[in-house]
Amino acid sequence: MSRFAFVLAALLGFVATASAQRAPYLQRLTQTEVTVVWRDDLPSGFVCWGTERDALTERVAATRTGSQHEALLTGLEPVTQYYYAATDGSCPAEAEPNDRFTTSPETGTREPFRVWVVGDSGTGGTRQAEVRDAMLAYVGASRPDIFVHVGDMAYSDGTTREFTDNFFGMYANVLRNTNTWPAIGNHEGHSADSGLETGPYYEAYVLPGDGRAGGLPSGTEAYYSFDHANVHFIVLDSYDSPRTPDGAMLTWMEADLAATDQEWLVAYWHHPAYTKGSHDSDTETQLVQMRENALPILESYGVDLVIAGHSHIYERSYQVRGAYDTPTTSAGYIVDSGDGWLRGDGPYDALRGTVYVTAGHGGAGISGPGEHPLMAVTEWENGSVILDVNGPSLTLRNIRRDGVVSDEMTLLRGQEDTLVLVSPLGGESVSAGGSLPIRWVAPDDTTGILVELSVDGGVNWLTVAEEAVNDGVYEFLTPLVRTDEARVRLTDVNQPERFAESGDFSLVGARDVEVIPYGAQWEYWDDPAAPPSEWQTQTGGWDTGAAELGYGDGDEATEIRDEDPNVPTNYFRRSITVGGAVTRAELEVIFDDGVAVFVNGVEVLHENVENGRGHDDFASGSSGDDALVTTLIDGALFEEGENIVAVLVKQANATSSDLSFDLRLQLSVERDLPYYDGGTVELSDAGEIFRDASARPPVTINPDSGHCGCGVISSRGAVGALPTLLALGFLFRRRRR
Amino acid sequence: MRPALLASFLLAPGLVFGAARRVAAHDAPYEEIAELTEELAQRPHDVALLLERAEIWLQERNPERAADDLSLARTLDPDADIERSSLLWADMWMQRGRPAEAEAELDRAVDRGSLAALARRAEVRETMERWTAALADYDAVLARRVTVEMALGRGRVLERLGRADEAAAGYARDAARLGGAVPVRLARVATLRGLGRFDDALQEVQRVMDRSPVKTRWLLLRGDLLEAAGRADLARAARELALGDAERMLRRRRSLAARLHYARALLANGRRTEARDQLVRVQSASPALASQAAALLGVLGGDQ
Repeated sequence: MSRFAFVLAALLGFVATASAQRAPYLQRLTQTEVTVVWRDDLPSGFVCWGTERDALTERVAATRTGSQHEALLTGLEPVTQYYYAATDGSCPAEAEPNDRFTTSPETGTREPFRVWVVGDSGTGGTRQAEVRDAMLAYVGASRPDIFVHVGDMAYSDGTTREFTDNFFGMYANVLRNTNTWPAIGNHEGHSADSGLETGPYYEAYVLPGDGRAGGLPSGTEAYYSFDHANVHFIVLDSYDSPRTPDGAMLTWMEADLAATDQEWLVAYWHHPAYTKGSHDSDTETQLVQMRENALPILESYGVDLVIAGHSHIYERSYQVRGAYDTPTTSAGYIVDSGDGWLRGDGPYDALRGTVYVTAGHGGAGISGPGEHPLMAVTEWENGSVILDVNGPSLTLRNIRRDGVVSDEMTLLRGQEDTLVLVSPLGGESVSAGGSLPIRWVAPDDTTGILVELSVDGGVNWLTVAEEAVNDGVYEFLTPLVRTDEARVRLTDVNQPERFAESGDFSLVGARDVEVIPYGAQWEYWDDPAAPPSEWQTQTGGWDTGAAELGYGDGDEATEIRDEDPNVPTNYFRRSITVGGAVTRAELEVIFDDGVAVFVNGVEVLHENVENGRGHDDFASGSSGDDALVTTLIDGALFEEGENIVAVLVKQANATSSDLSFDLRLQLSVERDLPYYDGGTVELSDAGEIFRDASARPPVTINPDSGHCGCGVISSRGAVGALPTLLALGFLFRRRRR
Repeated sequence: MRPALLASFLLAPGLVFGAARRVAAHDAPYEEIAELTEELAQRPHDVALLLERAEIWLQERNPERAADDLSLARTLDPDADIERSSLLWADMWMQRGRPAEAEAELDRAVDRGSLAALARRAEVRETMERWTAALADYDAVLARRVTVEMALGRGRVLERLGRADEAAAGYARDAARLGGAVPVRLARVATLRGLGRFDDALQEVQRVMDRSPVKTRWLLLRGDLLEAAGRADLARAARELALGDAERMLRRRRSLAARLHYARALLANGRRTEARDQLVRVQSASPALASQAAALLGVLGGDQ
């Protein structure tokens, strides 16, 4: 098949259904090599490549086994983008735009990079496609640098046909430019033999058992390691290789760990050490053995993050150390019980323990009780995980299949002698004149921090605090001026060589206003009969009361009518007045059992209402008491002036004992502020910058002050952070601990 | 566990045709077993499903349940998927402590050319201490495909047969064919050390060390080998290098393992008091490393 025909076939979807065909995919990417693999019916194949899309100046012949071609490209330069074309003969004039790869950064460097993590996806179904598309929508142009799959990529038995359809076809446009690093799952294991490295899994992948991608040689493709920038990844076979402490796999792993000096350690395999999803880590042999045998070794070497799948659920632990017992308890093993969110309890200190993730939600049906005692977040929805590694920070985000970012955890690796800026990193939008908390981690011997602000990209600096206390956070009010080139800089007052500087972030005209706080007054309808049809767009005439509204829990501020049998649906509404254009709206709802929220008649959030929104429809699921959902909603739905927020809350069934509702709504409302246009700005022009303005002398942004040559966290961090913060809409069910 | 399903599990020692879709926590991999059971209720003569469920029972160390499924599968179709069936039967017999029956099962598949069954039979025969027969199987597998497990197994058997030189040679050959597999190299170092072939062992250590950014462990091993070879000056030099490497690593990654390696390096360099302090810290902070720390503290004995 010619290259053109192959592309045409891919466009027409033939690749996904013809078992003998696989579009090109990347394997064993290193700083200087990559293997391009594809399948077709032709007897020979070549790969042409070059750094320019229309100048594929290099060419190498592929080896062929069965219908599979494998071409090893060597002599590449690190962190360099190449274009390539898989062909059966001469090189084409130019490569397809998506047929490209970027070689790995040099080992140990702090080059920012992004990882896509998927588990238990291989159904070939709609959910799998939605998970994929949600990731692509989230990342936009900042595509993942590597693709990690934690197993079960080809249901039900990992056959060649299932691999082609459910993995290589499903992800073809990702795989052709993103190297895949797989771990074998039990479903691939049905048709594979790890001891002999036979079967469709081992035929499909070309993995560095010889240690050529970093780490020590394992001698097998069943388990291996690789380096990417400042991260050492360890990939284990939890299904079909011996899991005993003195077995070959864990012997190799211990030696490999002892040999690496990488800044971050990430391990992954299929069977999770901790889960209460569709599998139970307290009772199942493979899971218990991985916990009892692998974790003590990994944790003793300070592994930072462990990812698995198998259990069809999303679970993310607190920071943990030493929980090897069976059954698992939380007593004494949670070393940081915060949520790990930058905008919540703050990041985890990577030196303290390990975070465990079950990412078995890549496409298969979700299930399980989800009550593992070590989990900070549990979610019963399909999705995938994005890891952003940026020097001393590693941020994990769960991207649900509906596009919502429902978890965001950051690990921060402080060093004994460095000062690390946690936020802002760059890319954020901050309300001009609003509060900006600056977070950092500094050594204990840092007694004071000089905090500075620039509004012109670091050309001039304004002292915000001459000696802030080293308690990890300093909050101040930003100037009343718009700019896209704001930065902050921190310096240890006694050791100026310790400093950190953010990337550019924006000061915007919008101001955050909490238009509906928790406990607000609401109109409510608790009549057995349905309300008038226009109930979502009008107010007046209903009873009123303060939230929390409901019955049956004893914590209600306003108790509404509790009928027997239950009325399926109760209604709540109120009006709000908005003073300008809304640029951002963040909604939180506490509910039990189903909920739908409307703004001016448009539904903006729903949970457990798949049975319908009708008055007589019960909720489609049970939420647990006071479940919390959060989401960002489209600011354009709000009008300047009066707006109606209306909510329906559904009972699970006719006999459920309780119903709950409360809601918080925060809007960013645009104001008319000037852009900073250079020159000297006096404090009186900038506005009240400091919380305690009276204690400060007049301050001038001095054009003559020196420009800091210190390292901005990274440009990629700035790019990555913006969509994160904009997309940080949380719509998920999680236990509030 | 839902009561209805729990009852069905308890009451039916063989196949379970419970209606519940999911067994709750605190049982075997409940979803898979329950789903297979449900499917078997619809297709009770599906041999593939029976084998699949037997495999899960074996993963969960429940050979009795597996035996029920395997027996039924063989009754329904004695020739179905002989390789897989034989491997499962063999695992079932091994879990029940009956290797002779396992070997007989594997013979069926080996006779039909199954490499997987041959590999498994080698391990079974090693368990039975039938060294010569096991070696023949290991050799036969390695002639067709070199793997870490087979290389290690062959070496073990040769050593039990008193043919350590052959084991060392085999390790060298197989490690090279496996891209330098570290488990095989480590096995060779141990064998060579036992043979007193210290120079060869040092070369093997060097090969691993060349690929290790952190060399503490290998430098300490090198020091031990040099010491055993009677080259104390070189041993001391290796241990000093190990200490420097361990200090560097402890600064970079303050893990308990890094601290343990540091303590070992201190101990190897005669800095016993400092080693003791580090070991006490490791022992108190890491249950996983406590036994290793305690063993080293035991070496220190009653030193102050």
